[in-house]
Order: sequence, then structure tokens, then C-alpha cells
Amino acid sequence: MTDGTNTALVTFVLYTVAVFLLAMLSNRVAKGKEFVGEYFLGSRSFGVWAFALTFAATNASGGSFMGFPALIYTHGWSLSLWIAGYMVLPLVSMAVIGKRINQVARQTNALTIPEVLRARFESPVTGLVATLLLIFFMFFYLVAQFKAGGKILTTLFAGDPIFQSVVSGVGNLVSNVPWVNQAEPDYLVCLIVFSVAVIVYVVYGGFRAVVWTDVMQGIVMFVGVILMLGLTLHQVGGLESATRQLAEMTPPEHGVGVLRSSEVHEDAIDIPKGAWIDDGEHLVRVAESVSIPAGAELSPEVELLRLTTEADERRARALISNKAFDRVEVEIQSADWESYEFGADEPGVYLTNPGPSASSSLGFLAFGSAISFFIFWPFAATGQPSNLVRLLSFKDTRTLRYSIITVSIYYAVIYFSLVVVFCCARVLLPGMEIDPDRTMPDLATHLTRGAGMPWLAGILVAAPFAAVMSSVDSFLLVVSSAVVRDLYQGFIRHGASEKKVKRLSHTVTIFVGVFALIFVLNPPRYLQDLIVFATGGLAACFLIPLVLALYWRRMTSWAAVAGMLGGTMTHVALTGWGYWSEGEFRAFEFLGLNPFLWDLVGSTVASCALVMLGPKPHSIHVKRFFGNSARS
Amino acid sequence: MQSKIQNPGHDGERGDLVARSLGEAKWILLIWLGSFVWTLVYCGYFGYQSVNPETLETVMGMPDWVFWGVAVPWVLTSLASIAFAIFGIHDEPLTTQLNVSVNEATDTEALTND
Repeated sequence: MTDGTNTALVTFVLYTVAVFLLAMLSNRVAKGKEFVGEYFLGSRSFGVWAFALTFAATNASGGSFMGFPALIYTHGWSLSLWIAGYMVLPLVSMAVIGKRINQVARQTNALTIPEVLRARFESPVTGLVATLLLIFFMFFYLVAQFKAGGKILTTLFAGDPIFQSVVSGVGNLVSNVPWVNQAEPDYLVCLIVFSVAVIVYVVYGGFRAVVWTDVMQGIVMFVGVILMLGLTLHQVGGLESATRQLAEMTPPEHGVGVLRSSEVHEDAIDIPKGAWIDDGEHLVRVAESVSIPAGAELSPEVELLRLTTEADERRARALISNKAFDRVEVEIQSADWESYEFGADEPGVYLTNPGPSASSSLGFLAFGSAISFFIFWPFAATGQPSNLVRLLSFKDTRTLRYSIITVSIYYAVIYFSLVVVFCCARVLLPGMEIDPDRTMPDLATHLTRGAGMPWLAGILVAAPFAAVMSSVDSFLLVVSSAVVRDLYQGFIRHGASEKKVKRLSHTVTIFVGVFALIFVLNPPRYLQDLIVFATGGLAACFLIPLVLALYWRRMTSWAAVAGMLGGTMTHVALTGWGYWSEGEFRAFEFLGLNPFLWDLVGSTVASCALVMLGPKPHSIHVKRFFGNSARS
Repeated sequence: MQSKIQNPGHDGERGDLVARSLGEAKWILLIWLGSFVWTLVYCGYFGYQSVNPETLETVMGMPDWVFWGVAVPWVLTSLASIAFAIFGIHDEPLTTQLNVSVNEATDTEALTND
């Protein structure tokens, strides 16, 4: 469903202008301050709103507003249990180590996580291992988020007339450029626009610009979700009504078939993706664009989706008659239909666990997975370097305390509202399984049109821009700081002049951004799985060594290195096992548990073994970080 | 459980911050454990039963297992987080200087106890 207007494009332009203004403002504020501390950490001066919203927005990546809604739409209320670990995420990820890591970073003037470890143990080797592992995992993460940025804009701009004309021009321009011409023109345009915007404001404004834009992005996300919740509940007739209609629904059937025109035409018949066909018995949706060639009667094989619930069909017919959905006058010549592996023909399956699944006979959320996710969300967030580096930037402990309050309320409202909104979306918009990632923008268009306020769609679709931008800018700066601060200043030129470091920081940020952009023009096949690999790997690598370094007097540099390598190797081994046994780039779930749990076990065992067997730390070193009086 | 800023300046206070942070971390893990047990036990028992649309029970428009197993613990955990942030986390100075350096030290004695 596209609205044929430039709403999303206009919103994006206005939004980008606002981001640039904030970057310019932060650049002015930064003048006269020490460059490195300001560029990578905003001079550790952030108060409650800035710290709380940058933390919240960085965590809520593009997935929260595209992938998560798609999952809710596809699997129903089960997602409330899947995401339930977020109820304790703010407290765990901010308070378990927040105060202590901020103190150690201030004491040692550390600006990055590897620098904290290096200073804590006075061990360049520990810092180097941490830096290399961070760059290794973060690069996958960064590349994946750039791709997500390009994809999200492609999805949101799909119906914009101006965008389509630009795409067609660019497509002709790059058709003979090697590597670049392998990217779809619409994706290429979006990727370049998105990447240039992010690189420019990060380079110009540094960490302060990133934080300030995160604040704006956090507000946009919050307002967007609240508006969406109100409009959805109003249009669906209340949550009770939506849940009762959801209870009647059964999962659709996916299929492949051939379409037939009732008569032979001189011109080709173009059938757009998303068009509906009424075969007399059922409503069927075309899942990809297809043409019936001129002079022919039949189309090539095309992917289809068939509704299986009467209420769904009634709703779709109403939308077709309101011109909200397209209908094409062709018939289905033949088709093979495939039911869901779990939940087919079972009314009520969208209301309970494990939820319907097209591919797994165990359903979407087996109980073991529910346990794993409740552990994974808060603790993996605690070990993410992009979150950890934010813990170095708050100005005092009062800021930390009030930020925990802010983020707890923020997440409770945002995530629970998203579950409600997109469970209702199943009732309002049937057949989105052909492209679940479009559920968010299509629902925004549908809701605002239904409310007689199409201009409001701009505010709603700004939320995904905001989410993905606020993640990419943070990751870009984390990778740049690792190269400049940890490698260059740490190992190559410790006493480099501020002017030189400034030039190098800007150059590295641009280089990393441009390199990621070029890399994702033609992304590897398993990119989505690489995101999962990188997220789990980063947390597995840093969480245990960092917690032990901050709280355990007996922790040593070699134990920290062992912990980082132990977590990483367990992660890599389980991923290799998964690839070997399943043929997919996905970690093996030993005993049905999330691989992250086994990674933590590997990291803990390696760290503790080295503490027990290796040399003990110098008492003077322990005294330096733990003081005289306390034992821990 | 009262927020209060300590005076900065010497090793004892650095140790105090570590001990207090560690104590706070234990309470946080307890809150996490409470929400984990409530959510998983309740949802494990009531959230995995098949639903008959005719006899469906809802609370505030959502399936009853979502209300009691996710919404209620979410609200309570958020309240616990807020209460802990206000009353359970001590305000501390974060800028105490390190006044002992390994490089300057002549004492190379290894830590032998703990």
C-alpha cells in the first residue's frame, strides 16, 4: 500500500535539516574544549535528558520499528513474552556497572572501553586484544546498520513520485559502473543519502552531536508511538474488539502459482506487488511484481499469499472497495499452497504461545527460547560497547539515577505500546505477510488517512529514521574511537598534537563510514545473521571481563584477556557448529538455550581459571583501584 | 537506602564506592530474578495453553496471561526500578584522583589473600 505522495520524503528532508542544525550547534559548543575528550565523549558532561535519551535511542535500533513490528504482526501476542526482558533492561544495563565504570574512566582519563581495560590493568596487551575484538565485531554491526538504514528508507520512500524519478535517473547513470551497478537503484540512492547524512553530522559535531540528535530521535520515537497507539485503538474499536477478532484468525497460506488473463492483450499486463485477486472462493495477494507478456495469456510463476479467515477477507474487501488496496482482474491458473508448520487452521493461535510459525513445527517461541530471551536482552545490552561508552559520559550519579527512571518509563511505554499497536495491525491490514517489514509505514499511512490527517503520516514514519540513525551514529563513533584513541594514540603516537589527532579522527570517521557504504552496496548473503553474530559476540566478549575487572580485586590482565577470548571462541565455535549441522550461519542452540548463555559460561570459566592459576595482581595495583578499606 | 553525596578525596572512599556499587548490583540482580521468576513461571503455565475463541478471557482487552504474566510484572518491575534509583543507589563523587601509581611504587608484593 503506497500513498502516492511525497510525505515520507518531505519528512526525511525536514528531519535531516534538523539533525544538521543540531550538529552545527554542538560544534559551536565544542569550541575551546579539549578535542579528543569532546569528540569521543562530549567532555563527560551530559545531564539527565541527554544521557537517558541517548541511551534509550541507541538501544532502540531500526529493528525496533521495522523488524519488531513485523514479528508482532506475523506471530501475535507471543511477542509480549519475547520482549519481556526489556522490563528490567534499563536497571540492569545502566546500574550494575554504571557508577563504577564511570569512576574508573574518570580516574584514568579513559574515553573508550578498551582504554578502561588497559588502564585498569596497566596492560597494553589487554587494551590491544579488546580493541581488535571490538573492531572485528563492530564492523559487522556497523555494516548491517548501514544496510538497514538504506533498506528502511527504500521501504518508506517506495511510493514517493519524486524519489522514483531520482531512482530512475541514478539507475541509468550507474548501469555501467562495476560493483555499484550490482545494487538495486532505489537501495543505492537511499544508502548514499543515508550514509552521507550520518557521516557528515557525526564528523561535524562528534559525540555531542550524536547525543543531541539522539535526544531528538528519542522524542520523535516516543511521540510517534503514542500517536500510533491512540489512532490504532480508535480505528480498531478498542483493544478488546481487536483481541476477539484476532482470536478468530488462522495463519494464511503461502504459495507459488501462475496467473491468467481472461483475454489476450496487445500490451503486457503489469501486476504490482501487493495487488489482490478474488478467485471467487478466497482472496489472494500477489507477493511480488509480475507481468503477463504482450500477446500471452499466462504469467511466469509468482509468489502468492492466500487468506484463510473469513473476517480477514471481509476486511480486505472493504479496503479494496475504499481504494486503499489495489485489485487486479486476473485469475489463478494454478497454484501450490503451503500451510504454516505450526498453527495452521488453529483459531486462537495468535493469542497464545508459542505463536504461529511458517517454518518451525515448534512454533515461534518455544519455552526454552522465552527463558533465553529474558536473560539475553538485559545482559547483552549491558555488554554492548555502544551502551558502555555512554556510561562513561554522564556527569554525576544523580544523572544516572534519574536516567534509570526516565528510560524505565520510556521503554515500558514504547515496547508495550508497539505490541498492542501491531497486534491490532493484524486486524486492520490483512495480508501484510507478503512483506512484513512494510507493516509500520503502511499502517502509518492507513491510520492517518483513516483519521483524515494524511500529513500526520510524516511524523509516524519519522520514528524508524530516528531509530536507525541513532544507532548508526553511535556505532560509527565507537569504531572511530577504537582506531584513533586505542590504536593510534595508544600504540603509535602517544604524544600526537591535538591538531593532528583532530584531523585523524575526522579522516577515520569518514573512511570507516565510506568503507561501510561501499561494502554494503553488495552485502554478503548472510548479513542479517552477521548482526546476530556481532551482537552476541560483543556482549560475550566484554561483559564478564569488564564486570570482574570493576568489582573483583583478584582479577588480572591475563584473566581479562582469557575471558574475552573465551567468550569469543565459544561464540565462534557454536556458530561453526550451527553452520556445520544446519547449513546456516547461525549459532547452535545447545540444550535449546540461546548461545549467548553458553558464551557467558565460556568467558566466566576462562577468566576464573586464569585468576586461580595465573599470577596474582600486585597489592599496590589493587589498592590503586579499590582503596584501602573495602574487600570485594 | 538514602542518596547522599560523600566527600571525595581518599582511598577509603574509593573502596566504599566499590562496595556500595557491588551491594547495589546484588539488589538489581534480585529484582531481575523476581521479574524473571514471575514472568516465566506464570507465562510458562498459563501462556502456553491453547485458546478457544468462544471462552477467551481478557483483562483490559488483552489475553489474561499477557496481563498477569507480562503487563503486571512490567509495571511492578518499572516501579521497583524507579524506587531503587531514588532510594537504593547512593550518590557518590566520581572524580577521586588516583594517588598511588604502580609505576611509582617500590612495593612489588603480590596480593596473597582475599
